[in-house]
Amino acid sequence: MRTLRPFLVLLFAMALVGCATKNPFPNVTVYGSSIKIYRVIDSQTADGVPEVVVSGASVALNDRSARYRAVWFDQQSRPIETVVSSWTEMTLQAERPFNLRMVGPGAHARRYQVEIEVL
Amino acid sequence: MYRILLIFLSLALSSACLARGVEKVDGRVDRGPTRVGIDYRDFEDAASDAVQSLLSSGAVVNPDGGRYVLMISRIVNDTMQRIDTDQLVKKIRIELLNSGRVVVTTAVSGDGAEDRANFQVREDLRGNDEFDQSRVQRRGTLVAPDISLSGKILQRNLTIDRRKQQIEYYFQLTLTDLETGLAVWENEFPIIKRASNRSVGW
Amino acid sequence: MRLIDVTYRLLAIFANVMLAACGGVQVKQNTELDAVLQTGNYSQAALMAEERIGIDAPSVTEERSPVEYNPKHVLSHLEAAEAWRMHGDRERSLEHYDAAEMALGDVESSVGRRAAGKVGAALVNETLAAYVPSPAEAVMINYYKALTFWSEGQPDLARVELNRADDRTRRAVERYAKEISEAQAEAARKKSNQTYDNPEVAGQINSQFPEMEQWQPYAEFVVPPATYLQALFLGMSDVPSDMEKSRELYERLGGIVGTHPALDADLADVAEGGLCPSNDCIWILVERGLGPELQERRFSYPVYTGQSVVSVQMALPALASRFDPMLASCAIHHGTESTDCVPIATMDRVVQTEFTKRFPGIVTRSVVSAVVKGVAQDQAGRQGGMMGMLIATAITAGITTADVRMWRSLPGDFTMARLKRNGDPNVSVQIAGQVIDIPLSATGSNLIHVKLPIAYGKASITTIAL
Repeated sequence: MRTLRPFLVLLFAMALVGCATKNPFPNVTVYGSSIKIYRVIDSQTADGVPEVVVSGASVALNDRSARYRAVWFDQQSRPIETVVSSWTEMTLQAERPFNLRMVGPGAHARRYQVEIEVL
Repeated sequence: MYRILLIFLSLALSSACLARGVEKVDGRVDRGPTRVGIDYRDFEDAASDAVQSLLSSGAVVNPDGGRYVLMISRIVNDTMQRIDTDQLVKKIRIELLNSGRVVVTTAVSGDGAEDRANFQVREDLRGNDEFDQSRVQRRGTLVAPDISLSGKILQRNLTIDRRKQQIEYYFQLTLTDLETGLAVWENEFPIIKRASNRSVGW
Repeated sequence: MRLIDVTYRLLAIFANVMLAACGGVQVKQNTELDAVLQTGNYSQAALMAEERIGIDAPSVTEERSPVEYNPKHVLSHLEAAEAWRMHGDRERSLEHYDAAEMALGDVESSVGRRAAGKVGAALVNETLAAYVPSPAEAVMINYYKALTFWSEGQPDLARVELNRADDRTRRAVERYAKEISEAQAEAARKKSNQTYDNPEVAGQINSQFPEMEQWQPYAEFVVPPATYLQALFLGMSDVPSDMEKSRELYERLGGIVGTHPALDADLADVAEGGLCPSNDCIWILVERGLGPELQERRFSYPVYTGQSVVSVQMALPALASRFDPMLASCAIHHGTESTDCVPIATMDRVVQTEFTKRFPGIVTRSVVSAVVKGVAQDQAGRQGGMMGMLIATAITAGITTADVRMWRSLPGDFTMARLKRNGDPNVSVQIAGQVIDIPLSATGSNLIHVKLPIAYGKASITTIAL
């Protein structure tokens, strides 16, 4: 048991880290570090066009380049080929909050996956 | 043994030769260097912004139900580059059509009929006994547009200092309700580029 | 020292031979081109220019090789472009204009401006550098392209060219400043205070150019016909922002040209919100004669070498007007109406403006070069005695030539007239005893562009239905 103790500690630590890094917003994927997501708000226009607003902040000490997009899916979970899913370039200002607003390609868009890439 | 080596060598050489020439770019993820002039990514960004703004504004929702009929009016190229404004308009048209809110007429546009066939089939085939007249388009079947999309792409070149220049592009679009003549939606999407004075401008 | 001396002599002899050949060829080519232009055979002039570029050009009717930008022959591209335009082959003309524009380095191209640098040219002489069109020439490229596109029914492309002309006008000021600062930097590198800023230098040089005191350059760089064309183009638009820009341009022109019947009538119209609202106006833009040419002016310039004063041959470009006074007699008739051809600009003044602004840079570069040559002459004299001095002086004189290259088929002046349609289906331009009848479009406003390089020559006519 004594020999197992270090492994158990490591396992526990890994579990903790796993919990801590679990993304609370499954529809938002961040590639790279330096940002923290606070809030994701989903809404719809009167005629059913979906919108999503992702709020977060940079935790980096200097400005970073980043880009983001929302990939939209239809009722059958097929990705929709649309120009609104093209990447948008942005500058993440050091330790400043940001808000990203993305609008779906029409009422046929049902689900989305936001991707944020910090470069 | 030598033969195998030779085959590998020739394969390696041929792939190297192929790789050195032309490279096909995946436009969805391309992060290649940006030009001082307008490139396809600028059109894509401008179109994406315009479509998102249009759809979220509700300006293309027909209160009477059904789809609006959109005509493409003039999109003026007020830049110093020979660009085809259709590169912008086409992307917006495709998106609006796919959104299910709008159909675009090709019978009327800022520069006359976009598709002359609309009139050709009427002028040439009507009364021509070589054609089955029951299948020739009848009078009064073309649908008049409800809304019109017009705009301008502007360019302003500014000198920052002896080494740097700033090139500003403005993609300006307006949606007009043709019944009232009122602009029901407007959007301006700026693209600002800063580069060396030595960079080509257009 | 001996090695430098020998190297210098070898370089000098080589350059001397090269330049004597090049200079001779250039003068011969200019004379040939002028002779052909005088006959009014513009297609032959174009083919001649193409031959120089290296384009296989058998005849007008046979299939010609495609135009490819050749940075060594920018001037020939310009001559070919204008000759084809005047001949009526607009497509070929545009290809050459596009090629010439590439030399300016602001057009996306695979060749770019690599071969168009001035590096190292000044020390030997100015003509070794590949030719880059001056700002005025650059604006004229876009002006002619705009006219061509507009007449071809492609106003969108004409607008692009007019925007380029406008931007080039803005950037001209920067280019002059850059040329002067580059020349001053060159002087600083050579540890020389022999710049045009130095009153002693300016005094010496200016005494060789007394005519410059009589010049009337514009206060700022401007090519009035290009500005007029843009003002007219935008004034015909029904978009308020275009009309506003048109009014600005007309006002700017008014400040430069002064009172002018056509300009004043246009300005009054755009101030009211529309150019020729009755849509029955005829604008007649007549380009008369030939623009100025650059000629070499040689004189001795005293250089203090630190030990003695040496007289060095200096060669600088000087402007010479080529305007034929015969062409001054010009009137336009339409029905019972007649009006004179009133100039909006002369190419002499445009080039004088440009020359005045570029002159300090040219002088500084040449004086720096003269100082280097003076020192070499002095050393040759000390080492080789009188014979050495004589040889060195002959060599430096031989390798000193001024850059007198310029686009030769630019017009002498630009006149503009505006008339109202009165039922006569024609307009006639009476110029230097010649009457040129020009049919109008059936209805609506017209812009007529006439270019007549020499009296009794063949006019090139372009009519644009507006």
